[in-house]
Amino acid sequence: MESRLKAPAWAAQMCGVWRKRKMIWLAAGICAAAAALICAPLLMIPGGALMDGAEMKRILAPVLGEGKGFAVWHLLPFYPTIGHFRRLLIESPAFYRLFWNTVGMTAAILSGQLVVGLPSAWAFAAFRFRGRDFLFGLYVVLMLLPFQVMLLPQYIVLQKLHLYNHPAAVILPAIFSTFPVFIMYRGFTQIDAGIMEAARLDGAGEIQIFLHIGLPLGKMGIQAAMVLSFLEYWNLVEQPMAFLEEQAQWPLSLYLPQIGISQAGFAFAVSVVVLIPALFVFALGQDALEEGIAYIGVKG
Amino acid sequence: MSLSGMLWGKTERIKRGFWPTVFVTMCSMLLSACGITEEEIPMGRYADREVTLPGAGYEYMHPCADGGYYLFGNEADLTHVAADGAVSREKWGWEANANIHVKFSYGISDDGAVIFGYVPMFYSDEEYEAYAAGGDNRYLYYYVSGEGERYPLELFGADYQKATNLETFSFAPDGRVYAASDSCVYRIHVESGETESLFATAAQVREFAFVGSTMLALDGEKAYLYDMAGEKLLSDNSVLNEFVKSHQSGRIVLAAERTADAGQEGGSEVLYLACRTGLYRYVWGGSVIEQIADGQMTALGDSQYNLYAMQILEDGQFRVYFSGNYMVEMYYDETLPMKPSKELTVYSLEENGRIRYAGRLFQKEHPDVLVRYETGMDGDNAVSREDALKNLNTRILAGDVPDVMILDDMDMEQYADKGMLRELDDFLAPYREEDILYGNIVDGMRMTEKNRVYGVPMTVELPLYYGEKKYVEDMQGLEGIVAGAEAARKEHEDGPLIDTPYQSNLFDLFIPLCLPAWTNGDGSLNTGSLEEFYQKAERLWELDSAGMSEEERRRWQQDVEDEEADLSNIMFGQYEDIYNIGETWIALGYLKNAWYGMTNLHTKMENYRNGYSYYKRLEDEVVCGRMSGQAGNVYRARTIVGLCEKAEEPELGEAFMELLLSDTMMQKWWLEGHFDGGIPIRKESLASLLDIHNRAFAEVKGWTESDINMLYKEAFWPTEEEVQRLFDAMEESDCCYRAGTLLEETVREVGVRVLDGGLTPEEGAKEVERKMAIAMEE
Amino acid sequence: MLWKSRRLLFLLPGFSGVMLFYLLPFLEVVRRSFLKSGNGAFVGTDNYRAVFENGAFALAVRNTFLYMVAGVPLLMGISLFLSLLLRNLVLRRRLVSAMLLPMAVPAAVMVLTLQILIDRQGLINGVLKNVSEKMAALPAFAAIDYLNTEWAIVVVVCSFLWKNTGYMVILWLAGLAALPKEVEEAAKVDGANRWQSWHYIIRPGLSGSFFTIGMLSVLQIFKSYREVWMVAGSYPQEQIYFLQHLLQNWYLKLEFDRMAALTVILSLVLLAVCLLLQREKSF
Repeated sequence: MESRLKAPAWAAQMCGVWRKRKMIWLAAGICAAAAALICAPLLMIPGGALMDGAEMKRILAPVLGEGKGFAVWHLLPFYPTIGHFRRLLIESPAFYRLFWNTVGMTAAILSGQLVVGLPSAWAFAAFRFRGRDFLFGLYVVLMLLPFQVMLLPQYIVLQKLHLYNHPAAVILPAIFSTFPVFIMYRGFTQIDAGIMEAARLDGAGEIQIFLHIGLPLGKMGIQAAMVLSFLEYWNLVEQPMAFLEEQAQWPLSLYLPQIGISQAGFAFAVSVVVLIPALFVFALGQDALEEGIAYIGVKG
Repeated sequence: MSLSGMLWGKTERIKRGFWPTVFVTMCSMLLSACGITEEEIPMGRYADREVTLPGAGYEYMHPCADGGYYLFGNEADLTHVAADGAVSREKWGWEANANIHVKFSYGISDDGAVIFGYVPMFYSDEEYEAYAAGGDNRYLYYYVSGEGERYPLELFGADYQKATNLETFSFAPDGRVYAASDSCVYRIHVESGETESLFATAAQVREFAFVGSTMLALDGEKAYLYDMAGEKLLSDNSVLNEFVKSHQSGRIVLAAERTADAGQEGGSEVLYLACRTGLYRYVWGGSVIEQIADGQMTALGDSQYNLYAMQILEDGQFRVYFSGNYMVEMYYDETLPMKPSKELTVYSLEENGRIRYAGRLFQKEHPDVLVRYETGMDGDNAVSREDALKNLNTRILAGDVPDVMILDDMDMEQYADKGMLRELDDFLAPYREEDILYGNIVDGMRMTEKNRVYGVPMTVELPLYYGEKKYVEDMQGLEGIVAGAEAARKEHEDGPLIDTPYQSNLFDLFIPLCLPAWTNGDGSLNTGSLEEFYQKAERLWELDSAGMSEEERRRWQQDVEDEEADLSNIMFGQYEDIYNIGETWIALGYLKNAWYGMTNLHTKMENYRNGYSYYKRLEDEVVCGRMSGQAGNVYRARTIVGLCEKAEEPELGEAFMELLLSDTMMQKWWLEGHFDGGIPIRKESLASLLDIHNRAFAEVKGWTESDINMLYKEAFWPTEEEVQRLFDAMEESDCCYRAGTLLEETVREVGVRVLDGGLTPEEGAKEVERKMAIAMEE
Repeated sequence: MLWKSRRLLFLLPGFSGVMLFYLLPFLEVVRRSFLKSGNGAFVGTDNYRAVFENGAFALAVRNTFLYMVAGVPLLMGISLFLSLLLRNLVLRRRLVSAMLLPMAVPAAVMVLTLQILIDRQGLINGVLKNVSEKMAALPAFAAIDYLNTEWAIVVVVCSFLWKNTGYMVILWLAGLAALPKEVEEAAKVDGANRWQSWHYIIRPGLSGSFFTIGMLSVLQIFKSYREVWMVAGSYPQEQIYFLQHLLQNWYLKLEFDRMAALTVILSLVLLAVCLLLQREKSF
């Protein structure tokens, strides 16, 4: 809905609320500054990805404990090289495999979370039942438990299910993660209970209410959950490391070599490649998701 | 009713459906998962036997259609072994006259024609320049027909632009010759030297096979099918492509079977594919590739060797040729169970060639056992040591315990403390009675409150110093080392002093010598001696750095990094223990090889930057001896073998350990050419390695970097007296240094800050104490 | 009756999975907290006692608590402030995406960047030194070893804020978007100032979001462990020795029994807090 109103909102800001312009510019300035501050350290990445190993070693020598003085950084390398990208994109066939593993894994997890988590979140938000608070509290606690402690018992369960060393060992637990439920739940609670009551009185079924009222109105929550889940699973490290033995099944995040400055340029190149799809998701995914949800809501 | 069910309350209608449903779902899920039924294992599987080759130095094998085969190599005769085993050799010697320096990329035909690539010999700069004009890594080619006619092949003519290096020469059954560059497959006309490019490939084709009139080429990415009669590329075979894609680690070799009725109605051509994971059978044109032998249970899975070629023999047997002059025949053995009924699991944190080798031997001796060798960290990825240990602990805690653990770089005392490791005193009793192992070394491994042995190293390394007498004579203790370094620095202002380009090298050298001295009897930290260690380390680093500027040090580091690979080519040049006396004034290191060092067969390198080296008996003024630090009689344990307490197959574990401690493993590994593996702790093995009359080598080979010329140098074998010195050193070693303890890690971490000047030695010791205090509290 | 059982179908698929992959494992943790690691003997509450008597435990609890007290309100405050500013901006999406970027960077590279920045001889100290040399008025510059002094906690909190601000802004924006615009507009027409509309309209409307975002901030605090560990190791400067260091080190020492006990304690505390907050906010 909001996307439909974009143009008028823009117009209103530009013309109608003219006197507020100053405030808006101030707000925009502060936000832009914050965004710039947050992104500043990341500016090292593109330069680093194109930097020759010897140059990097030279300018970072003090950090390596191999020189006096302080490290410096060249945002633009003096001797740029595409060597790291060549090594990554051309000389390591494993890269593509792992890249598609990551894509597949993330896609499976996100869609699974939608299928499983959405109804759960709706149930918590829309229905009152005894034990709801406790159960929800339990969900929150399970969400907060550090993976370190769940590692062993989850391993045992996966072993029993014969899922160990199978992509499902990472995907299934992630699908049932209580985290997206928790976030989508927030989105749903903000729906006015009156609307639902009215719909019920009109004879709408629970599923219809969910599809036509819940989904469109809770879309901000769903969107947030998906973006945050994407971020989490795109760079998932610990679960695949623990549950996938075979390297051919690993996601890209495990491809990054152990940190060592000698590999830094390569690591930067990998992260550029990892960041590009993320940027796409931010840029396109948000809108697409929003419209998709709006569409489901309107269709009926 | 579950806990939550009670909380849920019983009045609501919902719950009646909800919880039971959940319960039933869960139970059925678990049951279906756990429902494993025991099956009877059918009999019959492929086994292999090693074939003794009629000579050494082979690099290539060509299987002939009649069941015989050719062997060839740069330094080997062209050898034909007929199907009945008759050997005929053809000694080549004409190459030197034909200006051929090194041969490679062979292709051999059934009638003995040979085509190969070579690098020429240059006698003058002009000759080199003439060659280099067409690209200085250019191969040249030669053809020798079955009748002995020979001539150079001017492939690509004078058109250097079009020239690329060809490999994988292959003779088709009809006599045509094919070869491949890194991006294209060619047909070669040996009469005219013409090359005809057939089709482009994504990578270098490593394997050709000829099935009927179809040529099959594999390049590691996909399979190309080429119709030789119609001279056109055929459409892809998705079954083969899929196979190639999923077997990218290591090479795939092919052999096509030409059945009598092939090409006729109802007849079929069969292609066999072998790779690390096993031997596969593909009925040409079919939709499945079936596995007929498991790599893990045959020589195919042996990662020590690379697959080179395969030949189909009669009765469903196969001949497989590997790198390292290794050939096996695979045969179907009906008396063996299809899959081994027992499994022996061996775990080590990092890949250990010796263990992999032993696993292979064990597998051969016990065909009913599958040896699974698992490593925690392999290669260059995000799995850190902690992550690997975490995964190991997960398994152990879940009750899935390996049978044998290689405890290198693990804090084994912790595992012993938790009752995960078996006490080996009983197991070792017979060894002790017969005085088989160095008892003092085994006793050095005693730990925990019980003072028992939980792991035995297969080999040890002894700390050693080299240098001119006047510097190193009194070099006992850390103090002595510093004094020696001071003396050397006084006389030589320039250049490095000890062989430590990096700070970490300094710790590598001295921590093992001192670590045992930092813990008091009650397990607490001795900060006094730690502080002293930091002081001395700082002083040594200062002394070493005084001889060079920062820039020079960086260049040195760069040299070492660049040359590390090259140095390992020089026989004894494992970086850590180069006794490069010409380069530094004092050489400190760890003796990993019984054949040199202490026993006086050592490398004296002059000007090693140019790659020139020679071997010479120590001069009078240069001496060597056992180095000591804050602790004395230290040895570094390698390949520490332990057995797990709750292992599923304790007997197999014991048998495996016996194999590891046997003379075979202690000596054979050495004789296979792994010279840096440490000094065996089995007395007879060490003695026979050092037995002068038992020598396999009379000369030592090295080569220089600039012109890849071989240098043969005389080796000086140790005298009886020198051998005795090594025995004595082994006898007196009783203080074990084990890598991988938290204390060492902390000392290193803080040590870097001390050497950088961020902390004083005193602060450093305090910092270590503080960090260790938290660890103790835990 | 029929519709009631349909309602149940909403929760059932998700719940059975949660049960299998989370609740069941958690119960296993509870079970193991009463057993001795290694031989599996029942030891009653010994493990719990061992945890409470452990010196490192006290240190870890104190540090984790301090980290939360510093990190959570700061993160929530900053991100709320930014999202209030952002919500009416047209470029909102792009700016939020930019703020989210650190989240998408692989942890290994994140850590590498941090190391280059905060090393004693790193970029930050280098810049500070230049600045102090240029301005004579400033006191003489002494390089700070951020990771190995009291600064460590500052580094950890700052990198936590750096990484997570965008994350929380997304959530605040989701919460803000659900507020009915009309009420605010009406209030504005009635002459309410910014403070009033925040105090009377926005803040009450966000009460549920406070809970959600607070909990997620805690979650992110727990999740930031791997990076802290990658930068500073298993035994970092005392102030950044957190509960998870303890958990991890116990795991490496095969002391799962204590780990399990600590987990049970932790989850009871979290559950109590969670239920308390739920009641308080009656959301």
